Amino acid sequence: MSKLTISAVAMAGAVTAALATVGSTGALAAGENEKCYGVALAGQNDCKAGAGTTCAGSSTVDYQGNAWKLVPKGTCVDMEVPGDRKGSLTALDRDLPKS
Amino acid sequence: MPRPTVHSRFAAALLEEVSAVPSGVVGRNGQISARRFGVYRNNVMASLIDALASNFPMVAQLLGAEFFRAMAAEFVRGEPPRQPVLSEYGERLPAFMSGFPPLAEYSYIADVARLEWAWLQAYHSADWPVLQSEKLAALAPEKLMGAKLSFLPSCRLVELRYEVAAICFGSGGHDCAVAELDARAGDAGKVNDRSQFCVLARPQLHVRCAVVDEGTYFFLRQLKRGNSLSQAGEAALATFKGFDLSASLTAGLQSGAVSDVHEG
Repeated sequence: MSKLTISAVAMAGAVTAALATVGSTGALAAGENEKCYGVALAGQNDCKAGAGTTCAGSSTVDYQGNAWKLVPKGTCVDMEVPGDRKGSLTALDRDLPKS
Repeated sequence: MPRPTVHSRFAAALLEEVSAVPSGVVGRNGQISARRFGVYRNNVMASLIDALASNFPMVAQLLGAEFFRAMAAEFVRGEPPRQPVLSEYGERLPAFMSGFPPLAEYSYIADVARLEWAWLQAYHSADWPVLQSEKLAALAPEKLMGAKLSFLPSCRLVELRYEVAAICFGSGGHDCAVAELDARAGDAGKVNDRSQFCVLARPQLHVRCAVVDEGTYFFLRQLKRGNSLSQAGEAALATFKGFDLSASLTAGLQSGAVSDVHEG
């Protein structure tokens, strides 16, 4: 049985074809999410991280400014919540729980 | 064997279902209290079972709280944690479940556990940048044959005996499609017992699971072991008829698991 080989031309073609499919610029991973602050309802913030971690679902105020939720990349800052408030990629100092 | 101390006797007794208060253990008032020791022992067991339920939420949902807690208690007694990080507890639960007689008819659930464990490891892995297309595109064609890929620390290649990935990752959520699976499992149909091959990685914040064909899985494993693109491709060609190098490369890159490319 002859050894199955791949020629340099075939390899170059395969890489080119793969890059054509996944996009030739930027990070090789599609459909990223981003952390979006100030849009999660009370108790609905993300952070599923296994035992011993306690952050998920811990927000106590609707649209709490320092609690985040994962949303599709690029959609966070345009996200409107009631009362003329918007999402933010960094923690906000609005709607914090009263201490 | 070191001689048992009060601490080792205390620790051993905590995992027993019924035990006398170990000698040397007394309450604040100097009295031995079986009731207070029982409360403590119960809390230890409950907290470890809670930890397992947090680490394997899908398994807990599929089995129901009563079954899960009973099974987890048996696991905890046989395999108590050996390190203090609760989110790293339960590595051996999937194997335990595979050999747990009451689950013999539901062996796919051990696969769900396997995938959940891989998910948790991927989630807690170090952040790492993903390969930029430009770097691969810029590599001279003659360098590609010997080029090697490196993978994100979060990358896990998981082989499953049953098609359960959709249960965990169906529409992107971590807790979707449970009701649907239960319905299917109730029928004669059960879950498809065809193997499934998954690539897990956390390119940024979110763990992703890409289901790939067996050839791609084999190819990526070869690459992950440090073989060059041509070595991995030829090994896959020799093993799988109709192996599609271009499609497998595409799937590998799309999974978000590749971090860098190195000239051979």
